[in-house]
Amino acid sequence: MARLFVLSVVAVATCAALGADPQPAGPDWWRFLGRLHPVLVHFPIGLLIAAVFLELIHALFGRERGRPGGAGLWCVVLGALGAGAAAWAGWTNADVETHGRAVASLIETHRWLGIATCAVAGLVALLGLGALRAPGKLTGVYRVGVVLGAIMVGVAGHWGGTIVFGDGYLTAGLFPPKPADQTAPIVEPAPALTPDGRVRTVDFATQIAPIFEARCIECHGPRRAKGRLRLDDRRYVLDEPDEDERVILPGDADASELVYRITLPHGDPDIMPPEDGPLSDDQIELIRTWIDEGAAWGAIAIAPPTAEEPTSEPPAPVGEPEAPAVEPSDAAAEAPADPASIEAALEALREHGAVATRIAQDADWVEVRLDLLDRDVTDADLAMLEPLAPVLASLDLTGTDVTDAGLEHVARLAHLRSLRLGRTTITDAGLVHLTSLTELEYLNLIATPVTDAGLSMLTDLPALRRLYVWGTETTPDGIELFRLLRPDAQIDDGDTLPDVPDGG
Amino acid sequence: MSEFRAHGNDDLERYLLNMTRRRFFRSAASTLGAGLGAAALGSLVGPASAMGMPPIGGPTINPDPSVGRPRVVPPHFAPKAKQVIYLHMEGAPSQLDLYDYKPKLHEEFDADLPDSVVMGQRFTTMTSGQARFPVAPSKFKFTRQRNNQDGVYLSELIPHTGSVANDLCFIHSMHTKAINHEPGITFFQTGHEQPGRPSMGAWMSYGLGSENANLPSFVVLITQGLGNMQALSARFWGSGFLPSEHQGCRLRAGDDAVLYLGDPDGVSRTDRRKMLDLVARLNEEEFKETLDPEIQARIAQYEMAYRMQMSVPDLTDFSDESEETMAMYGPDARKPGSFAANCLLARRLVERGVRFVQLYMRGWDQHNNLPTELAAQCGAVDRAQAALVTDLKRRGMLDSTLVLWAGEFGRTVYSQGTLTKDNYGRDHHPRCFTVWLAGGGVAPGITYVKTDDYSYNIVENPVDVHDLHATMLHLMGLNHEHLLYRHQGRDYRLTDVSGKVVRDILA
Repeated sequence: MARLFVLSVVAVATCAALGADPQPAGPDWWRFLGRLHPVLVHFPIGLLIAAVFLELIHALFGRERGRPGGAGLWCVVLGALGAGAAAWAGWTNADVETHGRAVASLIETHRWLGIATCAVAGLVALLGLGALRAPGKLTGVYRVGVVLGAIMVGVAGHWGGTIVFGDGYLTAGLFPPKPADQTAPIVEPAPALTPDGRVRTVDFATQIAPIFEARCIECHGPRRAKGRLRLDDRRYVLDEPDEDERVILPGDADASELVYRITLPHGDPDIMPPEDGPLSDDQIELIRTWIDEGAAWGAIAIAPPTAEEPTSEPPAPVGEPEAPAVEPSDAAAEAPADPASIEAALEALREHGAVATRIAQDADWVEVRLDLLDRDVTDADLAMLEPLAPVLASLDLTGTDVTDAGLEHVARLAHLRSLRLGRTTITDAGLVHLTSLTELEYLNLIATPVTDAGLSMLTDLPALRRLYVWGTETTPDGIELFRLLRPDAQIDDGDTLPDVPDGG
Repeated sequence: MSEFRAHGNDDLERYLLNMTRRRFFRSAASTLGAGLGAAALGSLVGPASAMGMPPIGGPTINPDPSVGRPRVVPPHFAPKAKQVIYLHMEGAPSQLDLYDYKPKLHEEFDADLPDSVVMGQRFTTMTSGQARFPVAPSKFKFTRQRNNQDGVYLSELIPHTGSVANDLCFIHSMHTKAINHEPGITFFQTGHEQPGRPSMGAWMSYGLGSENANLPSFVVLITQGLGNMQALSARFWGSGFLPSEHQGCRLRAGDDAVLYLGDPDGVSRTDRRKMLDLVARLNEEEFKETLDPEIQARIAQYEMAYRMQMSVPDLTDFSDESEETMAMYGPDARKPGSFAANCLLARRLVERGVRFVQLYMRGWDQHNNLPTELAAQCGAVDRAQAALVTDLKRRGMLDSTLVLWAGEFGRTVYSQGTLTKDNYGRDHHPRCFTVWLAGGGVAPGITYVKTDDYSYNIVENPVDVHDLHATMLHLMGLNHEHLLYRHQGRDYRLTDVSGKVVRDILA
């Protein structure tokens, strides 16, 4: 038995020496042998722990209690050999495989714990062999060693498991996360505009999240969090307290560690994701654009009403950087709207019976209809709209009692694209307030006392495309002038059916 | 996130759907007192949806029918259209005499329809026994009307419609499966030939909710025709397996638009209110015990009826319409129940935020005496439907209102019965027919696209009923593949397992 053990130690040592000089060409045997580590570790773990029980049974009930038990000793010997093989495979594995910084320190600890275990197990095996020949005190020392070996293999194994499964994996069931941690990840509605006033083109939920989910979350998620990095929740990325640990710097893709890692040359040991090939160029470009646009961790607003495609289409790769679709305005440069206050303002309107809702599930723009209320709607109600200014895209005041003075509130709704004021008593004096609505595309003024003077003010609205003035005090000359000044906008002064004889 | 609606139609079903294998084991483990195992499993199950991707599906029934507040559900994506007016021409109007201009047919008057065109397709039993199938060119003159392409030829029967051709999108390549009225209408309304599925209006009510708490979200108006009429059954506008609050509410012509809506003599509105509150409380008790969503629908419907007592008289009173408007719709607009009056009523409904207005015009089933009967039918609809498009447009409502004009199928090129220069009939023809759309994000003033020289087969770009449905849902901001309702263990869609958005006709 002793000879067998010594021979084996020599064999393992030889292999280890060979392992120091990996061959560059041909099949990657070292990688293959290294990957036997997860298989081999089960031998020392099982055998060294079994040895404790077998030795305990032998010490209590065995025939020659003063000597080490045969079964236990076999376990220790085989366990020590297994530990050697596992340690060697592990060493190779750590050198061949690629790892992040944080995992590297875990590996270091695990490596030396494993080697210490291997050494202790070997020593205990020799002690046991010695105690067979010279029972007595040596047996006691041997038994202490058996217990020590089992504890060490347990600790080393735990560190190994931590590398693979992530910190706290074992005890997650014992200490369930506090309720605060169980809440859904924060997905806040993203502002429709980037901090510098451009319209967002990349949607996190439909374009970025699927990439993260497919290629990153397995290792950088709740299960493993390799390198202590998680990409499944903005709390660990954008809101990471340690600034040096933030892998995404909103607005600056080039300085973001995440972009650096995914754009490393193919084969670089630090490239992410390390397996199944790098991300496609389209995916990288999407992520870059998303970060450059401020890395909004939520759904983007689709610009109403010009949104072309439903987001259920496959995410489109981003091509050439587009020219800003909307001129940067002062309002757009404001801090992004607080979703909670938006929701509160909507709810307050709903309590009054108004239609107040997002224009779509995938958008943050909001529309409000005050025309269908059972009661009269007056200027006082318009003040309730102001908290919605950053997101309010569409407002219907048809047939309400709002006055020219009340439109002062409307003037502050900087992102309004559609406004219906039909059948109100709004006059030209009220339209003055509308000239600040630089994004207004649709304006309905039917059956109001508006005149040509009002029309001439509206020619300054840069985004205006459709204007309805049927039943107003405007004249054909005024309409014609408007058409001349604004050939890009359609003005409808109300056709009736041409006088054709009935058919048949 | 709160606006994303969970999948499933009620709490009970959602609960049952949520009973996954893991949750089952977890609860079983707790029952056995194995608390540790339960906790461990729980923590594994917990973060499973860490990415928080939104579930997509239709809305659920409101668990608390909040009195008097509109219940709007945001669509999947930004919509072009917010409301629909669907003019259904029951009986199947002849595309050959109205829209699908085939001048070459005059050279083939009374010639036998070539077998190469028929290709062995089935006829109805009304004509399958005929000795011959003589080609019947349209008796009516067609004139070229301006549109955004190089013009469209329309029949002299519909001159007013011709004058708004620039706002209309004609689909000549429409086709359906059904060859008889009942399954044909059922298919057009519900996406399925067999009865029992929810109507398109019910789907839209379910998917988008209502903007007006005082009116139903789906309203049906019926005009009696002048020609041969087929039965209309209420299930055409039924809600099928959807909660019954989504079914179409038919408004009648005449004094009582909704039967039994008014309070009986001696019952004040206050008494009515007290009675409804008491009934609602009893119903809520019942709901707590049974979790049957139909009870909630019933509560909501009582409440709706109470509110309609006030809203309907205002809706049907045309006295606030200008003389000019009344004249534009034509003299019939003053006759309740006429197609003209219903078109005007439809505009008033849409103004009030009603999601889906469906008009039925009966009497297009011209198996014989087509020229006279068709002329009479067109006389009743032409001016009014053109006025509706014009009226919506000048009020700035056509941008967000989708108008559909469609019959359940088309009519044959061959004559049913005796063919003379002045008289002929046409049988049912599902293989190609014409519908038109206006507003709501549809490209105006175009035609789409080709049928053969006999208006018998489609040459290019066929559009089936599912495609039309998918396109309409798309315009309303709904992905037809994601507007789902789970019933009897599987998800149902308006478009069943087919349908593709006809992107060529989008503006």
